Amino acid sequence: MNPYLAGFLLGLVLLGAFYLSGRGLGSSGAVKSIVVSVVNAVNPEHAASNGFFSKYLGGDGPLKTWLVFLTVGVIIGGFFSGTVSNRLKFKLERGPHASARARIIAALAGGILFGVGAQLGRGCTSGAALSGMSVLSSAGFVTMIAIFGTGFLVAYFMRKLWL
Amino acid sequence: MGPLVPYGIIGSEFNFIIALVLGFFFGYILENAGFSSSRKLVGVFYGYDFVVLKVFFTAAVTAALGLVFMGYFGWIDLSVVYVNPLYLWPALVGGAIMGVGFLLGGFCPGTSITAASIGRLDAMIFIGGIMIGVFIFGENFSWMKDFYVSGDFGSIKVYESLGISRGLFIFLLVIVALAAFAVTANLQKKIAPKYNIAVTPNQEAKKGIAIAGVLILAAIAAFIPENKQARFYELSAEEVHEALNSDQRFVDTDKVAFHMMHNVQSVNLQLIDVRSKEEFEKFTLPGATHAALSDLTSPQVQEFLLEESEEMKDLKVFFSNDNIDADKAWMLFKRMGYDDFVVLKGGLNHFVEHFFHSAEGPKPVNQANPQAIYDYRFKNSARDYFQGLEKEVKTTENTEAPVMNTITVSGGC
Repeated sequence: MNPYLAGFLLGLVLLGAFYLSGRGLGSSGAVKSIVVSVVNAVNPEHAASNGFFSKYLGGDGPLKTWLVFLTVGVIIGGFFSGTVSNRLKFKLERGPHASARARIIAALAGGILFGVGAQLGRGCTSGAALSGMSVLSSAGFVTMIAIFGTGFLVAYFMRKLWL
Repeated sequence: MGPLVPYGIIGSEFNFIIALVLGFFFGYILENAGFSSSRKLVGVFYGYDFVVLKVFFTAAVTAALGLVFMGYFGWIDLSVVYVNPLYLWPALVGGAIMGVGFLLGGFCPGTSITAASIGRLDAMIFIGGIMIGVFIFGENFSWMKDFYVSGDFGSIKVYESLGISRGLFIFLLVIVALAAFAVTANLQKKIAPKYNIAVTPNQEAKKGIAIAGVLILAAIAAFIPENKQARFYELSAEEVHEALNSDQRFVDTDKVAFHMMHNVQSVNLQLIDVRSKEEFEKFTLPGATHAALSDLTSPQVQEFLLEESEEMKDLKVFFSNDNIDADKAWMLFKRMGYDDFVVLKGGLNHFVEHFFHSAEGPKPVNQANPQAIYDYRFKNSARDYFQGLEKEVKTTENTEAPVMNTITVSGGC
């Protein structure tokens, strides 16, 4: 898909989310819901006494949230697109000069950092930066600049992974 | 008016279905735009592929412009839409951590989920990493608590932070986005071949038209006032004084009575009872709509009354026990630019006094004064009409403007 067309359509999906549900899109929230559920299942007292996890235990439980349903939709939508475009394949994608081992370690480390950062920054690229920029929130722009600004600063040191 | 779920126009039980459908398109678009490839995603940081910047910026500009226009046309109440609050220090540090995570992992959470859905193993590992990261954060939350809420600016808008108007900001944002598209397109042409990556050819003509279109929209958006109501005039102190001294806002008891008698539930009479709910339930004018003065600032109530008054075009009357509360209601709507509401002069007290309690006067004998005779007859028939009605006033159809409970909209990740 043409990236500008994709961006335009994604903007319409965002508008749909604002018009229908009064909120933007988000992705890391669903992952957090899973973590909270697991912690709660393994050790309910610990989850309830933890100042962070306990925030998400109210209501109908951490898994019955808007973002979890959204993410289920994302998985189906991504799978559907991959199917029609013939891209379904188990594959470890890596730079031409990166070893599989390095790629696995880097992916895991990157995920961990994103997990920590998204909680500290109250949302990830979609929930805080993209949705925030759409409603012209300062938080959205600050988060976007912090993510991409840092990305450009450290890109040089990670070049072996990608180039 | 949207947002539909928080406004109760669509039941909240559908909210999850909405999320599922929106998610489907979100995932489909991300995957189809190539966001399921980590190499493509990090291309923006090395200059060989700017798909992230293009999609991300276009989506943000589309949604931002869309919200401005939808707000202007009254399709969405922007005050209800979730605006993520700014906690400056955690946002900066969190963003920086995410930036490093992006370069190491090659994904952000949303794109990793789409990539995992088509079988990318690196994305699955990345998601496992996010889970570990969230767990680590949760376990260490107690000592980061103070930092987590530092630099609290609330749900501030970026143009407020910069001290410029919303219109100017939107316009600049579009200009920056277009400039970024142009610059990166040239960079990509130079850099991509170095890494043996194909560049899709530009379609100059189409691009020009698209750019012109976006610029025109941005220019229009730049002149859209932030608050729909600001489109109408805000009264100055002198004008307020003048309006309150003028009797033009009052409608006479007899006139209202006349309309009510000749067609209760008439299409051209809107009676708005601004007293408390208890008073309204005890006694009100037939066919009246209840909207307590304290609720009149609520957008739902305003919208309800305005929609109702669009159907009932001729006479729109606020009333309370005396003039005072009805006057306040009238003033509120006047300041929003709605000019054609009036106030029942003397309120219900005068109305009741006039038709229910006043003794039947002597019949005018002077045949030379037809007006006096007419008044006498009217008052008598009105008294009969309303006194007959009093017994069945409970069965007359009255409406109540819906007062929503406080709307809570959450958001973020």
